[in-house]
Formats: sequence, structure tokens, C-alpha cells
Amino acid sequence: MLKKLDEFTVGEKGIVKEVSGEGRIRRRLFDMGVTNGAEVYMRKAAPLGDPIEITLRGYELTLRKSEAACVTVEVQI
Amino acid sequence: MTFIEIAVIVACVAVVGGVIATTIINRIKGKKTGCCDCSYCDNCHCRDRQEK
Amino acid sequence: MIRIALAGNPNSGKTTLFNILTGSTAHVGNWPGVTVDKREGTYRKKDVSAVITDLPGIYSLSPYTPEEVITRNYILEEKPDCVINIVDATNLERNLYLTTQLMEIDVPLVVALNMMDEVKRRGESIDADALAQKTGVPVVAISALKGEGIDKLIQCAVSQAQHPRKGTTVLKDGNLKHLIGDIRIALESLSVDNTLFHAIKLTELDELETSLHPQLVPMVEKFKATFEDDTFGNDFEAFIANARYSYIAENFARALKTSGKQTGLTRSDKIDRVFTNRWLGIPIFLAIMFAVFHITFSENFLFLKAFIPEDWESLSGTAFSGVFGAGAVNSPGVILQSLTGVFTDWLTDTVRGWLSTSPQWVSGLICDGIMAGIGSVLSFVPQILLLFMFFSILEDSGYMARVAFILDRIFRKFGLSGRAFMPMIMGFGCSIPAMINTRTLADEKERTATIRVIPFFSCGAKLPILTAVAGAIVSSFGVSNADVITFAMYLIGIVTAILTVILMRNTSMRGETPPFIMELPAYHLPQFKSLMIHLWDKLKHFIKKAFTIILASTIVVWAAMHFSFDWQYLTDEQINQSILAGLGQLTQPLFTPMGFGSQLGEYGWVFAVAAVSGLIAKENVISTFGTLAACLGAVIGEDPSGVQYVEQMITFTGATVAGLVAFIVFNMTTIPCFAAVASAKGELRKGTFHRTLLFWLVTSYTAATVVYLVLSWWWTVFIVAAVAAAAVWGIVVYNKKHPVRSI
Repeated sequence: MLKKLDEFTVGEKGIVKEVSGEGRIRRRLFDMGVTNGAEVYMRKAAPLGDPIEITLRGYELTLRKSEAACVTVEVQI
Repeated sequence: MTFIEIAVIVACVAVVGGVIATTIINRIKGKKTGCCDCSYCDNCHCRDRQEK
Repeated sequence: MIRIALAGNPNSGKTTLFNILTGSTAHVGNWPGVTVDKREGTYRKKDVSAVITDLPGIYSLSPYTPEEVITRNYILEEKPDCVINIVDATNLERNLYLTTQLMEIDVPLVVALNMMDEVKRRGESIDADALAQKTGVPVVAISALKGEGIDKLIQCAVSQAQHPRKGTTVLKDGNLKHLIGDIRIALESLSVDNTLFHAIKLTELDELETSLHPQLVPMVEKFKATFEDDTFGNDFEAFIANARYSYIAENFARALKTSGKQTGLTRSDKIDRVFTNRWLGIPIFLAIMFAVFHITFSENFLFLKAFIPEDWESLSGTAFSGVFGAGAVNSPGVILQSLTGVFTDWLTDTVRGWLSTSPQWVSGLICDGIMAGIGSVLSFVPQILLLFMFFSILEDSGYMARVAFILDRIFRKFGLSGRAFMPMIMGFGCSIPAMINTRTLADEKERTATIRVIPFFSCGAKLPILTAVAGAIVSSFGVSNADVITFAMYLIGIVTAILTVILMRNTSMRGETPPFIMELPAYHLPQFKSLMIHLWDKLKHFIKKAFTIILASTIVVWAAMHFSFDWQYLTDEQINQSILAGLGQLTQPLFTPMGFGSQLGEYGWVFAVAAVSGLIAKENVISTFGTLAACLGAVIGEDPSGVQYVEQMITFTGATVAGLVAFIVFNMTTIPCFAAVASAKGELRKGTFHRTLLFWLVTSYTAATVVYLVLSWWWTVFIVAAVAAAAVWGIVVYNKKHPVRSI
């Protein structure tokens, strides 16, 4: 099942399928390791619901939901 | 004037003159003024850390 | 002497390594991006000597943030003899991404696998030799924190520096390599160095490269039209980034040996469960901030006042009198402050004794001018150090990065990202490094807005103004606790910052909210040694400043106060005829709307003089009060501190609480000391600087006036609210008619 990263609930994981978005944000996501085939795990949302924290390539990354919306993920069960 | 009076005047002139002079010299040398010398300043262009 | 550059991801331990190599004491933080400019030092050991350059931490060599450009240009243009790429071994995959890019540059390269001790502690291991074989560059395992493997690393770098190295790439796709080859030939004919690196960046249509070699862009575009990958189409940027990461995943996963069993929650995870908890996160943050201020400033420590009998006075008059305030226990910060006060008082009395036979003006200058001025500043050293220590601990531990995570949602409402939190919190220490740190903000408008509000985060030097005036309000008018007033003043600064940021982001600095994509580093215990070095540096800086610029200022102030315009020496009683009084009286009317101008009595000009002297260094405000109070023949109690000087000022001028609070607000939000002004000038674009000065003046004038009016006549709240509402309405209407052009 394909899902945008910002729609993830805590504890879900998946494999990145596509990264879209405006050039600068997209590049930044690539550089931080959000590329196709990367495994992501949704750890938590900040107390106010946004940004979110994900585990990726062995480290913790935080990004806003608006930026997470650029990432399409194949959900794994 | 007593010795102590002269000494005090000389010291005061030296301090004020010294501070003003260093500021001017730094400016002429093109050194960035405004160094606060704080320890956060690991990246400060104005602090000479070359020789320690 | 050979030149070695250190490059690596943010928070990978470059600065720790740099400090070990050069014996320097640069500040290390647990926050990605503490080093934002390059910095040099020398390494000397036995027969080896080298210049070490610490480059800002970066994730990639893309052209989007200033730090990335600094590093890229340094390596390409300055051509160091060897680059040491520091790799955080606990985070191999993402760190090696930068390595694959550095490998493409024609420069000798050594990979330093840092934090190997932490890897071992986790029961994992990394095969450095296997890594070296795959990458074709030497790999040395080190621990910068424990100083392990450092000598081997330098030896390796020195021997590598002897042999030039040609760039290599991990990209394998045949067609793409063909294009890269063609571009390289074209670049060679233009006699460009580092053709491999430039060719690959050009293939990615990197902004810097395309502007550098626009004539080669059609070549890439033409090739793009024919290229078709199954997953990426002809999107080279995605294709190349992906190729790098897949290469790392395929080859280096083998070098990393995990202990097999997936260990559940790490220590960091457990801490985070509490600190960034959905419900507890924000209350914990507020509680920590309150505790910091309470321990530093409270005169009613742990709220013990209720438990102490009112007639408790058994310790007054002894050396321990500072422990108890008005029937309550003082916080450690206040105790230390009163002890310093007792010491400077004793020193002044001793010196006065020695000078009893010399002319009156000599003891006046030394005891009432210099010693009162400097003493009032020095008595705040303990509190400044304490506050600074708490902020360092919070930052080193990695908690500050979580605060950005927690607060981003709120910051976004103001049009900033959570990243702007760091320079702002640094502003509580000193505005200058805070302004420099704004380089980690990629968005120019966000940067300008942040630099402008940094002075509103009251720095260490403004602390004495706050504490002294707040203390005097408490003792002269009998209002509530000093720590509450201090905390409220900090809050006013923050509120002013928020309001002006919102105002700027809706008027002169309109634009989209910048992105927030950032790493959350693992928690670790702050290092005692680095903390102490940090505090020592701060102390040294403060003392140095006290005995140079503040000393000189007190002498000048004293002289201006004891001479009339026709150079006649004046006694203390005649200071109303002095040069200083004349100048003060001239500017005094300007401060009337804020409650410390013409409405004050005979000596009302002192506030004007103090505020102006603060432009040199903010510590001058209180030292000016000190000098003045001593000269006005004030009877100073047993422990003179800034508080008592301000009390004297209140007695002499008849200033009201409203006027005093407005005075603090004015000093907190006005043009900062000239050192900060100089660095703002350096960090801002031309043109914005003068507007920034104006912004500071207007903000402080408005904020202080509003505070004075509202505190004096409560009903003025309605007028202020009406004016504000009208302004907001005007801006909203204007912005609706003139929407921001999207980029």
C-alpha cells in the first residue's frame, strides 16, 4: 500500500518509493538519506503534532509534515 | 602635586589611551572589530587562534 | 608546512578532533552546525607540523546552505594537501554519503572513523580494512573524545599528502559515465581542475555549476532527453543521490558487524520518551527553564520563605549573611553574588584606608569612580557564569535540539523554523556568536529577521541591568520576588522578539516559511572538561572586558562628572554643573515618553547618561549608576551591589516603578553594544544594516513607551490595543491586495 509519509501513524514503517517537492527541499531530503529504497520508521510526532521524527538509515531525522508530504512510501506490515 | 596624584593621572591616561588606540589600530589593520572573545566563538574571524 | 582540512557531517566530532590536534579550546556543542565558519590551528608533534583547518559540518556538497558552499570552495580552490573526512561510525550510512562526494575531488583523502568506542560499547564492530579496500582511500579508526588513534591518523594524512590523488566515483551506470566522460573532456579543454567533480555536479544540474559553465548545460539537457531509467526516468539528481546510497548500502553493510540481536530501546530513546512526550514535552521544557532561572536569581530559594520565622536574623552581620535574604533562603546564584559583593566592598574600604592621606579627588576617582563602577559589574559574574553553565549543559547534552523539535510548530506560526531557536537561545549568552550562528539558516529573510531580534534575548552583559533594577524595585517599592521580575523581563524580551518577527514576516520580510529538516543527535553526558574550559573562557572574557573597556569608560564618566565645561574641578556635591550633567540634560527630554526623562527630579539626567553609555558595553549602564551613586555621597550599606546603586538613583530622582521597568525594556531592546552592532553589520547584507539600526531604535522606543504608559495609567491599554488593532488590520488588508510572489 502506498502512503505519503505525513499520513503515517506512530510505529508504522515502510520503504521510500518516490521523493517529489520543490528543488531545495527535495535536494535536502536526498542528502539526508531520504532516497528510493530507504527504510523509514515513524517514531513519534512532536507534542504539538508537528514536526515528526523518523528513524532512517540508523539515525533520527525530524521534518515537518508539509515536507513529509513530498515522500511517498510503500507501507510494510 | 604628590607622587600618587601623578601616578593616578598617568595610569588613567594610559588606560583610556590604550583602549582607544587598540580600537583604532585594529581598525587600520582591518581586523574585524566586535570580537566578544566569548567561548562560543569557535568560528570567530576576529580571534587569533593560530598560535596557542 | 602541510595543510590538512577536516571535513565531515555536522556533529560528527570534527571540533573535538580539532581541539585535540591543535590544543585549542573551541566550543563543542551537541547540536548539528555549531561550527559555521572555517577555522585554523597548528598541530605540532615531534617532527610533524601541520596547519589544520576545521570546516563547517555538512551533509553534502550541494549548493544550498552557506556552510556547504564554504567547504566546497575551500577544498576546490584552496587545495589543501590532504582532507581528513571524519565519519561518525555510529551513523555510517549517512556519513559515507559525503565521503562518496569527497572522493570525486582530486585531493588526497583519509577517512577517520570516529566514535569507535561507542560502536564497541554497542557490541558492534566495523572492519576498517574492508572499508579502505572498497573506497580505495585509507581508513583510520579513532576516538576523538578519548584521544585514541590520533597520531596514527596524522601520520597517515601526512604520508597521503605526498602523493597526488585522482578523484574516483562510485557511480557505475554506463550511459551516465559516458556523459560524465564527455563533460570532462569539455571541461579539460577549458583547463578546469577537478573535472570529475565538476562533471558530476553539472550532470545533477547543480546551481553553482550551471552558472559557472552555462555553455555545457545543453550537453546535459540533450543527453537527458535520450536517457530513461526504469525508476527515475531522466531525473539525474534523484538517480545520482540514489546511486550513492545504494552503493553504500551494498558495500559497507558488510563492513559493519552488528551484535546480531536487535537491542531494544537505546538510552537516548528512553530519555526521549519522557522529554519529547506528547503531554510532558512542553511542561518539562518550561519547568527546566524555570528551574534554571530560579537557581540563578531567586531570593526565595525553593520557596522556603514560608518555613522560616520572620525574626530570623541570627546570621546577619556574619560572613554568611548573604545566605539569607529578607527572611528567606537565597538561591545559590544570589548567595555567590552577595559574597562577591562583600569581597569588593572590603577591597574598596581597604584601598580607601590606604588613600586616606592623599587628596580627596584621588580617593574619589579610585574608590567611587573606578572601584564602584567595576565592582558593580563584577558582582554579577557568578550569576552570569551559572546561567551560562546551565545553557551549556542543556546544549551539550543534546536537549536543545529536542527543544527545536518541540517548538518548531510554534516557531512556524511566527514565520521561522525551529532551527532559529538555537541562535536565539545563544543570544542569552552573547549576541555576537548568536548572530554568526544564523549562518545555519538557509533562508536569507529568516536570517535577517533572526539577527534583528537576537539582542532582545537579553545577553549576559544586560543581566546586571535587569537584576540590579529589579532588585531595587523590590527593596524600594516592596513588590514581589526579584526572580519573578527578572523572569518577566526575559519574557518581555521574548515577546517583543516574537511580535517584531511576526511584524517583519508580514511586512518587510515576507516569504514562505523555511523548511525544517534536521538530525536529532543522540543524548550524551556533557563533558566536564569542555564545560569548565567553556566557563573559564567566559570568565576570562568578562574580566578582560571589565579591566579594559569598562575601566576606561568609568574613568571617562568620572572625569566628565567632575569637570565643568570650563575645566574646573567639581566636588561631589556640584556634579549638577558637570559636563556629563549638561549632556544628560540635553538628551533627557528624549526619554520623557518612557518615564525616565524630563519628569524626573534634579538628577533625572542620570538615566539618560546610563542608557547612552550602554551603547559602548551594556555593563556600563550599572557601572555608571555605581559611579554616580558613590559621587552623590550616598550612604552605601554593608554590601554594595548594583541593587543599592539603583536604590540610590531612585531616591535621588524619584523614578517610578513604571519608569524603571520601561528603562529595563528600553535597554533590552535598543541598539546593542557596539561589538554586536559590528557583527550584525558583518552578517547582514548591505542596505539592511542601516534599516536594522533604525529597527532597534524604533522598537525600543515603542516598547518602552507602551510599558510606561500601561503601567502608569492602566486605561491606556485600550488606546494601545486600538492602535495595534488598526495596524494589524492595515497590514492584513495590504497583504491581501499584494500577495507574496511565490519563488
